[in-house]
Amino acid sequence: MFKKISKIILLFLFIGNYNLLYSIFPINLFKIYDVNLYRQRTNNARLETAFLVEGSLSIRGRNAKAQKVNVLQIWNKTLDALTMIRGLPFNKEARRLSNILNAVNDNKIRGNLIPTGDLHASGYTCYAQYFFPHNFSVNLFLPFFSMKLKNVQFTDLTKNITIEDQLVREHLTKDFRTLIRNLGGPEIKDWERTGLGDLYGFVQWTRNYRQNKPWLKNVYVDTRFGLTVPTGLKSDINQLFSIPFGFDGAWGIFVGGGIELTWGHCFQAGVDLQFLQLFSHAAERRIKTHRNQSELVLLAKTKALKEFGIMQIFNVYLQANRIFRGFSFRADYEFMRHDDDKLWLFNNDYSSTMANTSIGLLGWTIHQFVFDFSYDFCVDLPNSCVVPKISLYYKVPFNGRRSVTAQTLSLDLSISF
Amino acid sequence: MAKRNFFSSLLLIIFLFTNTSILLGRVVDGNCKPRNPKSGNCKDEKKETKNLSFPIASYAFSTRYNTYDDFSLFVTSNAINSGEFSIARATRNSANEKNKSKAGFMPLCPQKIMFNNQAFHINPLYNQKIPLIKLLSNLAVVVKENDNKLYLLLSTDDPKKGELYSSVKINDSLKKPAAEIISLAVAEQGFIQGSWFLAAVKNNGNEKFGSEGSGIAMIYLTNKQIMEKKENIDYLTEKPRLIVLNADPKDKLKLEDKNKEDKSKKKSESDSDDETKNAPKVPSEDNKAFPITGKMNEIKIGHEAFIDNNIVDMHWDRILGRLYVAFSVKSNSQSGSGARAILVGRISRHKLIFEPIAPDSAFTSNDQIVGTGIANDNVSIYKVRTMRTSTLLNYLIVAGGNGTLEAVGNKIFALPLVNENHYLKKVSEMSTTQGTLAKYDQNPKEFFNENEYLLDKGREFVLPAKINSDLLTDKDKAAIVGNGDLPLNPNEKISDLFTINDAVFVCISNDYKNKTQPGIYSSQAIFDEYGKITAWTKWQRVVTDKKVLGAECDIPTGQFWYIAPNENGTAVELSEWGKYQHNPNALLNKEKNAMGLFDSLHSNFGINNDGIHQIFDFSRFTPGFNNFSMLIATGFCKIALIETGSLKGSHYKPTKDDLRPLFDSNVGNLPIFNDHAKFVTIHGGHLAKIGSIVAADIVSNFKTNEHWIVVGGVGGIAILMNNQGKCWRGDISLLNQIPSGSGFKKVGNYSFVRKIQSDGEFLYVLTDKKLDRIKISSADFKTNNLKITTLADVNDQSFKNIYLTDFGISNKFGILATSCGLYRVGDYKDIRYAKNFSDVNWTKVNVPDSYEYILKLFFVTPTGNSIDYADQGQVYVLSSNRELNRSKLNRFFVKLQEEINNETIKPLPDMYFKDKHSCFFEFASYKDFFWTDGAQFLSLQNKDTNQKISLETLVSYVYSGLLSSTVKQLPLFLDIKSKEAYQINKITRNSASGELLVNGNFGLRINQ
Repeated sequence: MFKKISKIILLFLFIGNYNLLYSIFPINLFKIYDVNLYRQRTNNARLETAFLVEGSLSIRGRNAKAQKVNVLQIWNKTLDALTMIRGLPFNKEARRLSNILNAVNDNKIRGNLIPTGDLHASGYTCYAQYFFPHNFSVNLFLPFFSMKLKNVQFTDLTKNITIEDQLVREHLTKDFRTLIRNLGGPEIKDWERTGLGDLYGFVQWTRNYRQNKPWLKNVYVDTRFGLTVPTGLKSDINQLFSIPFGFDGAWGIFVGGGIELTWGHCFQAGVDLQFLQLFSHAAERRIKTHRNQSELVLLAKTKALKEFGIMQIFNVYLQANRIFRGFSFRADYEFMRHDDDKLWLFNNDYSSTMANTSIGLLGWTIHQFVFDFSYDFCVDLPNSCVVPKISLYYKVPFNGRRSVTAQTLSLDLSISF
Repeated sequence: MAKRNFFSSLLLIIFLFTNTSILLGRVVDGNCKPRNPKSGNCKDEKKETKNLSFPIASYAFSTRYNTYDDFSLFVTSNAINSGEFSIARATRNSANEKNKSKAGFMPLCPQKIMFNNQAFHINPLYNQKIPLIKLLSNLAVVVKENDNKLYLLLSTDDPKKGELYSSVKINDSLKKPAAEIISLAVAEQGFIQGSWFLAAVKNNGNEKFGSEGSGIAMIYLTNKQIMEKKENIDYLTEKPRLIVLNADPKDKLKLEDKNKEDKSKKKSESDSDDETKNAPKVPSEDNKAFPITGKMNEIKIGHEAFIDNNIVDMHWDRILGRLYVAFSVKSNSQSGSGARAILVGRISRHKLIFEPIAPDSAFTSNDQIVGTGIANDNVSIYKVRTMRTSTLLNYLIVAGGNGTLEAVGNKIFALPLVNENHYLKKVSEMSTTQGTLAKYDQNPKEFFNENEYLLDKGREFVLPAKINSDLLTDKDKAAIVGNGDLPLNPNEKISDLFTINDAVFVCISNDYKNKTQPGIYSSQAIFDEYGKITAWTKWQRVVTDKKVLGAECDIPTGQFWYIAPNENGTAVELSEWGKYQHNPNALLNKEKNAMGLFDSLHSNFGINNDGIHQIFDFSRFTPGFNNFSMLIATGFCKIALIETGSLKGSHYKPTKDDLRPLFDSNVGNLPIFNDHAKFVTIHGGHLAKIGSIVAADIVSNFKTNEHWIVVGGVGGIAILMNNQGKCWRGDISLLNQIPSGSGFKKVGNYSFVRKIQSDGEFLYVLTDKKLDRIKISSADFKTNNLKITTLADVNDQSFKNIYLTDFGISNKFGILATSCGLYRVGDYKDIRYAKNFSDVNWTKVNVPDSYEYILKLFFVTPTGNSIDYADQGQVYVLSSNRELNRSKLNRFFVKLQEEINNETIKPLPDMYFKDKHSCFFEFASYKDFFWTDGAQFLSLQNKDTNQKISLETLVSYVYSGLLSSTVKQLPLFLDIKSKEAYQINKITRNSASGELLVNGNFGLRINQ
């Protein structure tokens, strides 16, 4: 069994080496860096294992102005087919089209297509936490995702009036899918993918400081340091809007910590900070070759090293812990922010400056509330060596920039030994 | 018929009634007071007036003396009741501001002023006639009527803080006080040699200029230090000072001796203050003008000549460092006599030295423009200017020529000048040939920098004219500015002459009479492959047909300022780019619904269909027109025919009144209209099949004298014709003379038509994939059985992967712009009779340093008709690269001899490096269109992704080897809502009114 798992892990480690620009894809599915999944030790258990299932209720995108848009419009409202073919000296077909359309100006209507599509996503995460003496624990998370993009459509905005309009229709937008295929761009069609996410392990130190104050009864602190292993399914640069299931081949480290205060017997409030830094990663990527190209369909492919911006996650929560037997309720505000990335091209075929004008390299943010309803059977099974716990998460994103925000419902079943 | 005549008469009456005013941009507010010194607005609105209430005697535009950074107009009064407006100034604050000019004229002559360093002195110029004004930077140098002093006015925004300085009385050449100063010139010689004023004076007895005693006086501008008290503190400040010198080099006086002499002498009584102490480098002997009479060797040839009248004009060329004096002269009646009407002067050691414009030996006939070698013959030059072309060569521009002043008032000539600035490798001050007429057929010499690499020194004519054949005559195309006489009666004179870049402008202030047509006119120089002027474009009206005293183009804003006298005084008007909702005439007449060109087009070409796709101007010289001109505006499945000029009374005049009623047809036929028809729209019918219409031409068959209107676009071409395939025969002079019953019929099987052109025998149709020649025949049109010869086809192997963008046919020659360069008709071929593609033998033309994609061709021809470009025409080639966001402009000279060969089309000598031709200019962004009239270099840029549409102008003296980084490219304010506007298609000159038009999806903007 372990051999099989090892094989699968190895297979995913070495499978392909293709990336889109966005290694940390801006989506709010539970990922390994989500502190909501971290568990406090209960009943002096030595081992805690869990399995989480997350399904999306609806998925929308947020553009740079934080407006709700279709997921395919998070970077650009329209796909600009005229600028798409610019700056491609080695693409014969693009050169030919660029030459034909050299005199045609891009008025942001002509040659522009509105992309739409429906994204569905679900995640499954297995994790295990082993507690060592002196408040140390080791945690392992291995997520598993399934996603599909359906109903991919491009609506042509080009008018039917001027010669320029007609030229663009004839040469660019009439059969857009075939054109993109001929130009070596990503396949414009629906897709469905299932695979592993990145493996995530960390060492955590936690401690409760009991307080003998009228209200404040306990202060809980934790710190953690971990590593992400790129076991996840990488994005496919030949697929439209392909989403990596992990960090797209990059290794990463993180540090984090939090503090939680308990008032009375059950009211808790806490804050948590976590910082993730990915190591630079080289891969074949799609890059921009013209400043005004749309992010969704890029035609140029080249090997490039990506330098990642730091990822920050802030959580503030209030919790009513075991307010009725083992039932707890938690309301969490989570803010995720990823800073700008940078590309370094491996050759001089294209301009690094131009490649770095990519909107996909710009930082993104997500604001969301996570409501956690859980029941811990430790109250009901005080002497049992196996204690189950069940949690229901309801995630409500309410703001963000350049990101895909999913309203999800998750069920988490954990067992402590 | 009677009805038609009635309507014609009515039209005439209406026109005559409203003839005194036209569509206009803005009138600079006149002389109201008091004014707010900051805003320039009149403080008392009730006193606001649009006119200057007095006639203008003289004026000066600052740009003629400065860079384009500042723009101001100084005017002087020709009446004695103008108060502090004796001298007034209007200013454009800054080229970048939306409100480009201050609201009105500011008075510069308060009743009391700091005069010769005395505060609150009575202003001697207040309420005076000021017949002459010149500018030195922003210093105004003026002359008072019946006075022989020079006044220097230091003006500020607050007239009360102005300062005025006067010279002593200026003597004539006999050292007696001159009776009058009749002409002025400012000689700027740089920091070391200082600035000079040169004044042509009449003798003490006020006899005709040229009589004994008349001459040219020199006044030196220097500074002197005086102590000034400000807030009880003494300051040593420098104040200007005018010193009148002895200009006559015959009165030799060593500077050192004179200084010694001065020390021992008492001060001159005329120089009342301590001038000599503060001007040690300038001799201060009694002032004396340089004597100018017909006895001068530089004027006479053989025996004494006679200066005819008091019309003297002077011009200083800063680059050559030479003074040009123009006058009318008559040669002696004795045989062997001749005369010259231009003097070339220089300042050397504080003396004036004159040289003949060309040696005696050069003048042997009476057609050499500035001189005659014939006895008892007249030469009359009444205005003189110089120009430096964009090819870096110097030319003399003169008004007048061989003959009496009454016979040459309508002639303007250009003559090459010697420039030895780099040739002599020393200061050319002492050269006797610098600035004289150059041997016209020499090839100019090019001067590179020390490494013999960069063309940063320039290009010069270095050989002076010596013999008769070295001079251009008044029959040479290269000399005749405007390619013929001005639209002016020969006995009348132009009111102003000025040059901007490669263009010569004249102003005509006489009313319509016989040949005379008032307004501003321009002509553009055409250069050969050596950079020499080889021809000039036909005179073209600019901006207005009003009577204009003087004008200037404010290049950074694209505005023309012009002085237009009227019955209420004088209005100074300035053209502006904008939309003109209504005809001002109609507004004056309370006709609020009147529709001018803008309104009419705007209401017919909506923004939903991308507005006006193209505009084509057909001047009154178009075959098939007689005293009639029109515009064709095209749009989506629609065209408009608009009369722009027709016979009004006995004169062809621009159509400026209400264009209503607007006639419309929605079935593709000509609507039924009457004599009043000036605006006709046609849509529907076969035009609906054409879609976006981007090409139009008046197509003629010269043999049968038949004419058609042909349009083309996305869906092919359509011809306006009746059932017999005919449209009109002979000439039309009104729109309603196009036969009724004609309708547009689609012919041929074309798509994506880009351009159509006809040459009187064939119709040429360019699509993005082929160029076809169609035999023009009504029988063929009727049956739609066209005789087509395909001259270029992208399906041919040699044109594989090439797309056609533009073309031009002229005689047997033709050029074809493509996505892969420029092609011409092959050697010894004739495009008119080529049997097929291969028979044209398209030959690639090297476009130096250009982009591969040739976007547009712009033709400049002596006749104004692009079909004539092979007869000494200029072709501007715009190549653009969308990905690099850059465009380049190249220039070619085309001269078709008997057969086409390598010499037929040649690039102009635009170069950065030695022996390496380059583009003329590189734009800092992608350009969709280029337009020039020689003075303004305008380019259009469509909205492209984040780049907004703009109309930009090059703000500089534009010349060969000019680095684009050193040239400002300023956007002109078009008053367009940027959200809606994304397409700007073309710049077109309305040949009748002279207005510039810009069309796009937003509609129309007019510079008027």
